Amino acid sequence: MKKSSSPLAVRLSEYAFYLPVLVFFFGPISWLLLASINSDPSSAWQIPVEVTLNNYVQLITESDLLLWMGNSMTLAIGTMAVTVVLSTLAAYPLSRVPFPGKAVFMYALLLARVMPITAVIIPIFSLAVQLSLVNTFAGAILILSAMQLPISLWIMKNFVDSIPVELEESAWLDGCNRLTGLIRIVFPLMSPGVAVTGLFAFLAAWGDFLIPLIILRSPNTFPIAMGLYRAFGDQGSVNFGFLTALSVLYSVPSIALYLFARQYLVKGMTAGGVKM
Amino acid sequence: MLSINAQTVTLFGRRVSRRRLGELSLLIFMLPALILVIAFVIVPAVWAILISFTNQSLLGPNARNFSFIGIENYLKLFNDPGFWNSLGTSFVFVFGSAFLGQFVIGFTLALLLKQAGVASRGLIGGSVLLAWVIPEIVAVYIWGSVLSFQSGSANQVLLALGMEKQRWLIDTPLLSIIIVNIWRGTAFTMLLFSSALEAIPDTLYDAAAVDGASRWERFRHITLPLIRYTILLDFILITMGTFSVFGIVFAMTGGGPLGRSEIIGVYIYRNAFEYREIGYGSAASVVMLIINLTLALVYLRFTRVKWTVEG
Amino acid sequence: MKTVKLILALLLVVIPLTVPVLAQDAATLTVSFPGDPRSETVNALIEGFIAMKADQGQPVNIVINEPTEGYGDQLLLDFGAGVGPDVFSISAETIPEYVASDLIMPLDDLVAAWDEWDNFPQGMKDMPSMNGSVYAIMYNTDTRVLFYRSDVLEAAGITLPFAPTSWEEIFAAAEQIKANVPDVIPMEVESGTIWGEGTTMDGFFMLFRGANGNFLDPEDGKWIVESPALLDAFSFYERMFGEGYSAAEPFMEPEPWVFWLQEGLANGDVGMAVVVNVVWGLYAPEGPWAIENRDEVLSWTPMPAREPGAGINGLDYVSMGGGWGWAISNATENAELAWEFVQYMTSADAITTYTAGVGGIPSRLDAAVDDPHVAAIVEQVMPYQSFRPLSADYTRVSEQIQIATEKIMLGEATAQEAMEQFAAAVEGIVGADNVKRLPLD
Repeated sequence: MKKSSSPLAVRLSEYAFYLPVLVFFFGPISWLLLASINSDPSSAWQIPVEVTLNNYVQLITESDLLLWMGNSMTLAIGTMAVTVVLSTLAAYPLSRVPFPGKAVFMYALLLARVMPITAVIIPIFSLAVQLSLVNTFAGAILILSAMQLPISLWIMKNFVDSIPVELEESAWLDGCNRLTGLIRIVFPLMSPGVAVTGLFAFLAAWGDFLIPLIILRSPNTFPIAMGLYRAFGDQGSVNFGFLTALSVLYSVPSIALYLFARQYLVKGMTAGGVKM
Repeated sequence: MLSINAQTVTLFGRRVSRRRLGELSLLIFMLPALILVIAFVIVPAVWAILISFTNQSLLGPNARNFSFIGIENYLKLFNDPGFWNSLGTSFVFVFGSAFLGQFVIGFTLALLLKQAGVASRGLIGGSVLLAWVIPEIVAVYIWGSVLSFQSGSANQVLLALGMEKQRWLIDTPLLSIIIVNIWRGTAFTMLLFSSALEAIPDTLYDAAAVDGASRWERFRHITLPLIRYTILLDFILITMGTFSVFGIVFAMTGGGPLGRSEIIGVYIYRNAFEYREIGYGSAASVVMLIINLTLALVYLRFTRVKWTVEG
Repeated sequence: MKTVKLILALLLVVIPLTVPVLAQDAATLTVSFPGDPRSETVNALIEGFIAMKADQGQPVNIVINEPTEGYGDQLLLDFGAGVGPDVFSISAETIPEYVASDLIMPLDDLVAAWDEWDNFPQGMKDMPSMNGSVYAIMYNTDTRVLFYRSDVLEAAGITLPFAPTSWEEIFAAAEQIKANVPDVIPMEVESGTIWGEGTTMDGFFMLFRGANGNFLDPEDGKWIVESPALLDAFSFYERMFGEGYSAAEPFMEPEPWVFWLQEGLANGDVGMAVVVNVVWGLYAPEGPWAIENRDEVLSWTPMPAREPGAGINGLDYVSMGGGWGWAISNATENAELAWEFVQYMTSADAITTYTAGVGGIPSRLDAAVDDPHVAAIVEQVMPYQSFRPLSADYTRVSEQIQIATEKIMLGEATAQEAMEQFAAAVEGIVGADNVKRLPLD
């Protein structure tokens, strides 16, 4: 890849934008990091007088950290898998096959998702009860996936739209039928879409609190989002060491996935060999 | 019902070409996604719309024996100054945090970071993302530590610069929650545009550069047309997302002081759960839905995306 | 054909999702209670019940629901979806709403035949009662007192032990702190909407009862929305904030209790605070809000009425009591077992265990009290305890109280204006026919 060297003025103006952005986004988070290694953390931003890893050590030795991590992984990976597979399957017909009422359907998808969770939580829960999904990972994963699907379907359809039909048509001439053409030509080209919908689905499920709260009732199914509440005790007391250290650990997989998915976005395009 | 001959198939009395039938059979692939979405998204939404015409409550005599009351909830809603206040607050909140904030910053970041080195990408992109993935309850403590009057870091910075301390959550509550929501939600726009920009082949830019196109011209004539659809999608998604924000605002300001930061999400929660009036809360949700629908139509015109979903 | 196979495959995936709920075993009891920090103690007690039943040759299966967050909302969802628990823990002031929903079982016949019922003091019988019926058996209660930092008061030149007998003496102490120890915020009385029910219960009612205030007229059941007592209580807030004895800003921040109690009172940055008594345990040197030398720097005294004898029922001091009880669902199919469970969980032994493990004040006279602090509270404060009004409208009226204090705190209304706006708001909630205004003298 060739990178055009920009004039100095442009570069400087870029950094002039980066700096405040970095301060704004990272500044508040620095409290979290500093408090997590402080032997006497509090609600105020402060440089630790005594640096310690005790908060992390205690998390690993004294809490159910590994259990929560495992449960969160089950939820997030499960949701990511269901969302990616179902939206990849659905995106192709949504993009290529005309059928009556498609525009209405696509909008209805998005709009239905707008309903505030407070208005739909009761029917969602009632349905989960009817289907015996309460207290099952499958239930939480299916609901989380369903909530993620509208956005995923839109993004994936968007990607298929951008893949020229001509590519497929040439494959049909080579003897592929529609299905094998789909598998050999279209699916590989959808990889940036897969990366971004997969990332969104993972992050949404990893960070969700409400669905696990209503669906996963027994402590050995709690994800990290609920483990976090162990930081809160009687009369609103807060264990800042526990809260901040767990939050830092909670964020690591998301950041790692983001960095991984970014590479995948780029690779997906170059490997797909799109030449226009 | 179904009869087959060489080139065409008769389905429900209509003649359909075999090719078209093959196409239609592809719709099967939509089925699993469709079932999930209908079960847990569409049905609950329709349910909420139906409930909005009843006097159902979560507790009390109307919890089980509720009845259909027509548009009474809607009339009550339109007569409640608190509702209009929350609508006004929401518009400012959405405009400020979604457009001026998330869209402008997120889009610019996606553009800049595409060219940037690994370090900037990791550091800047990582920070923006961190703000998004941190659990809500923790974000509340983080911003509590920034905006606290007595010891908050924002006021410490102001003091260091020789300025006066600000009562962030009392005098400028709406601005405060807008800032928090920009911080929290920019990552989504950044990621969406990053993936869209990544999908534009470099060869297009290279060719334009050879023709002597300036940076701006390349952006205006290559990038913008290709991502117009993504801009529309982002507008719709962040508007809807921001309209239904509730948790972080509820935890930061509780909608106060005295309703000055009460966005509609908080209004709905307050009525549906705290006051237990789920029918009334649903009516407010339906109004919000209609506003979102209207805005989506406005964006369609604004971005001039031609809406033909014909493949 | 491929298509047909695909459809079949999909149906195989979908059908198992629609299998109906299996009927539950007859000897199963579903129990809900708010989890942490009570989880360990309550679970151990439940284990004890299971073991006891097993010894009697009647094995039971207990399904436990213990959310650490959003307990009230989860309970509503469960009942709404028809899967409410058989037995559940309930905070006393929410009982009227559950009664109005027909979700909770009256226990009158059961307690009448229960020989241990008289081991509960009258207050613990009244708190879970409505319209003459008992709806829950209390297992824990609490009360509120005036905590103060003796080191701060000493530095301000106030004679210790501090034992105010009127509001005037409290204000005088605040004035001295303000003048002599300027870095310290003299006092904290919970205010504003962010603190939620705490503002009403720990702050407002401690003043309102101290001025002989009552919301529900015992004669006609109407809400008294304007009264001299209400004006007195609001005037207390007006003076406290107006004179700079307290600070408005922290009350408007997301977690005011962290600022005021976990950090402020613990670090000696706050002089006095009207707080629930259980914080005493939290400030223990090994507790979550540790004050190393707690017993030297932290003290408490009963909250005085406006003047001696001006309190509710002519009392000199006031205290508000809240608490948690065990209730049985009206829809349970296992009422007998549920009642056995409740009896077990509210036995003298169980309550002793609970108090030792979790804190608070035992709800029974015959539960042992080890902690000298709790013993002192029971002796000196419990006689002054009063409770919140039992009404299905309580939660919404309570919110209006919080709004009124917030207006006064921010200087947006005087005590008089706040009371008038409060009266209008409550009238809107309960209806004009259900309110009355007492003449102000």
